Amino acid sequence: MKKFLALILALVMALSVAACGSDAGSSTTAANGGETAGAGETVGTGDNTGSDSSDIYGGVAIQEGGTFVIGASGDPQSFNPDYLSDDNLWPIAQNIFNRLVKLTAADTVIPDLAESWEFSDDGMTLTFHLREGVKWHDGIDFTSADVKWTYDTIINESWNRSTSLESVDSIECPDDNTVVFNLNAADVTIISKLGWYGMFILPQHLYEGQDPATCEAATTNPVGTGPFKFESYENGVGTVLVKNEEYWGDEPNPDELIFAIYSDQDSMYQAFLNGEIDLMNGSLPTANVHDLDEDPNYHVLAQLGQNRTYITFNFEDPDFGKQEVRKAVQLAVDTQGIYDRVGGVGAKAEYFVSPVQTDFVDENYVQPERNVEEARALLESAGYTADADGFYIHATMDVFEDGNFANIAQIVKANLAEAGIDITINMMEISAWTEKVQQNKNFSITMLAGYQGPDISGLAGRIQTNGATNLGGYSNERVDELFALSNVETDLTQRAAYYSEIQQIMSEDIPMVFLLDNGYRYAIPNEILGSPYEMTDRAASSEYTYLARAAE
Amino acid sequence: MKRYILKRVLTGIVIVLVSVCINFVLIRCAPGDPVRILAGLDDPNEDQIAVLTAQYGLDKSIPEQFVVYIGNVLHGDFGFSYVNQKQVIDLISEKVFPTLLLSLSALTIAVLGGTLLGIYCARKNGKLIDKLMCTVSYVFDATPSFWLGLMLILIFASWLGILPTSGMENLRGHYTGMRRVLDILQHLVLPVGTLALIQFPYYFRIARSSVLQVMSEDFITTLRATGMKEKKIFNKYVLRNALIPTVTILGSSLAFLLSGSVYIETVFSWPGMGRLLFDSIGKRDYPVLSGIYLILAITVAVMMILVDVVYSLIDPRIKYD
Repeated sequence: MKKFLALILALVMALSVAACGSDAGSSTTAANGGETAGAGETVGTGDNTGSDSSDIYGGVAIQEGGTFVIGASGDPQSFNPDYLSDDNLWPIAQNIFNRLVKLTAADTVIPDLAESWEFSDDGMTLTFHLREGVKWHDGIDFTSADVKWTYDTIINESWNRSTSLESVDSIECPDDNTVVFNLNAADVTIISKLGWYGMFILPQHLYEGQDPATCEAATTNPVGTGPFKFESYENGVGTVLVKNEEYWGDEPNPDELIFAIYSDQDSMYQAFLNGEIDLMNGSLPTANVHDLDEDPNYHVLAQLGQNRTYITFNFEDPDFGKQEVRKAVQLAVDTQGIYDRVGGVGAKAEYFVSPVQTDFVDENYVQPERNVEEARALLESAGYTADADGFYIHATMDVFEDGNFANIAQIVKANLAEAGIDITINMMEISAWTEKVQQNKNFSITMLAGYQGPDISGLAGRIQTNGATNLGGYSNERVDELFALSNVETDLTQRAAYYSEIQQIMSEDIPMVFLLDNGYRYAIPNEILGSPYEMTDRAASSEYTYLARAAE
Repeated sequence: MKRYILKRVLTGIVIVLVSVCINFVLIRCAPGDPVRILAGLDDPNEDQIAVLTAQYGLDKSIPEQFVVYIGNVLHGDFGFSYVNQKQVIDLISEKVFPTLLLSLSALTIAVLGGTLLGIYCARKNGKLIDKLMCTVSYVFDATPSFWLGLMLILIFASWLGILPTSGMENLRGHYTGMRRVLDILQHLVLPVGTLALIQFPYYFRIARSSVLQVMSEDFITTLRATGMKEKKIFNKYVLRNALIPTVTILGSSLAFLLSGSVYIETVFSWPGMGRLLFDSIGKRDYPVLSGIYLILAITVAVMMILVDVVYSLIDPRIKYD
């Protein structure tokens, strides 16, 4: 017994020794894609400083300040938001740093550090007018030189989204508040790309000549121009930010913002229900999407993302390389059944571009209604004969473990079996899938999802020749040409016409079969106001400047 | 004895070297490229992939990488985590305390509780309490720790609301001093409880069966024939002999303390080594994996030697030559 007591004492002592300094974490969100500010137009914005809070919160009185805990799903790799692809840093970065423009949760582009911008008549020059009086968190003035240094570095050092800046030839700073991008080709997609991943403006005075991932600014002391200042970070625990009292924009309401890390979605959801966290950064877990629909303590916001789950084919494959076989797959898949299976979240996949892109969807081109007989007939006309089990084709579908992929793959397997295509599902860890499918192209048929924005041109990487996410090697010269034409086209109607033709070709060539338009369901406790999902006219997609509790 | 220990130490060193070598090669043979995982699934930037591959030395052959690694380790450099962009040694040191806190607390409860219950039930062999406890131990033995953890969260955190769901402390509270210690203890209850419930059947059954076995030995019958009191026989002769297997097993369990419990740490968002190991496998963070495996190999080797020595001390029948 004495020994046991001694052990307890030792434990308590060990704990008190450890009692110094730990804090909160990070999180994951995929940006959901959207409409983009068209190019060739001047976008001015009202100065969004000094808004009346009753306006913002629809007349509801709020408690000022307070600590807010956001559920996050993993550790950031570093605090350099531009260096690597980092879903866990993405929501945190939106609160520490600014971009020239920012994407909202509704996928629209609104001004950030740039107050306004304009393209030259030939579309080859893009000029940004920056806000005045902006300071870095360490008190140094922010200038156009920081913008130039950031983008030059991203391009020259091949940082993660250097591909978004391919059209940038050079950057000039005529004065402290003006930045001029000289383009090598007109590019109407660049504005929305600047509002997306990997485009945060970094402090030149802290980064220049330093290692981009391990320097102080990227690890223990990130400095931005954003609404919150970095306070602390502990691996596996979380990240703590505090209000930037000197913020140039609307005064942030939270005194403190904690991104607490939950490595398991179910645990995060329980912590949310328990009130340990105020908001989950991201959608409700798949299994719980409708749990809170009837709960009077929460409201649930549904949102359609620019994110589509689809089947893609290896064009080198002897079976799926044939248009008839791809068409048969398209006819056999029950998209309504898939949509129902995921609890009606998102939308049934119908169109060839994301339905979020309302300016571009051409309703003349839709995926055909399910018709198993026609699918079988197509396979027979292509010279296939059924074996003893009634199958024309046997194939393996490589699928990685991700959200609802396993469920959807099972439905696809059952659907295709009816049409005489026998699918063996090869469930893989994502790292293994990446090597087999993405790197070695060693597959026949696979499933994929992902963000297809922010601009409609986000589709290009998936179907243009040698596109970074064009796994199956689909190639159509006219499609490539149409993407090129649409990227320099400032007239929306003409741009839509190019995309209409792309949709027409997609409906004939069938480079992919769309299974589901993914959506999100955000649960918000009634007393929490000003979430980024509701502040789509002023906040970035995970910016918590306006978060507040309703006054009691 | 000295010669024996020396021999065991040398064997230990060989085991560590072999295991480092195997682990180094095995994880690199698993499909998946850490840099591609870093670059992201959507629209990977091939230029950056090339830059990072060269920077991390992953463009070299595996033997070349191994030579570089061993050289670095001998200089005390355990490498740089790709995923956490941090020195491996710093990363691992942060995790040691939370993991030990969790697994040592759970092990203590499981060993004490399991063994005491086992001894008690052995004495009540065949009675209702014995049958009940045996059933309970089988049930917990067969329960997945992940599921049990979630159930305990549901019951004690969500329904009863008396304990926090997960994490190591209340971040909102910013507690310091004694208040913080109490807060951490409160957060410790559920993960430790889950881990202890999962581990206790093991010690329960070992204690119970070895007590029963010793009690049926001839020398106990002889002692009984001498008229010695049952209590004395039990405390002096049965217990001492019956606890030897528990001590042996305890040694090998201690060796795995550092790797923690992956599932428990994940369910309870506990910032420990098990979770780090799990995440690093998924993301192919080779340097972190090599670092953790190296530490595990050393711990296992040290524990094996300690167990052998302790074993010889408590069981004089065992002689080493």
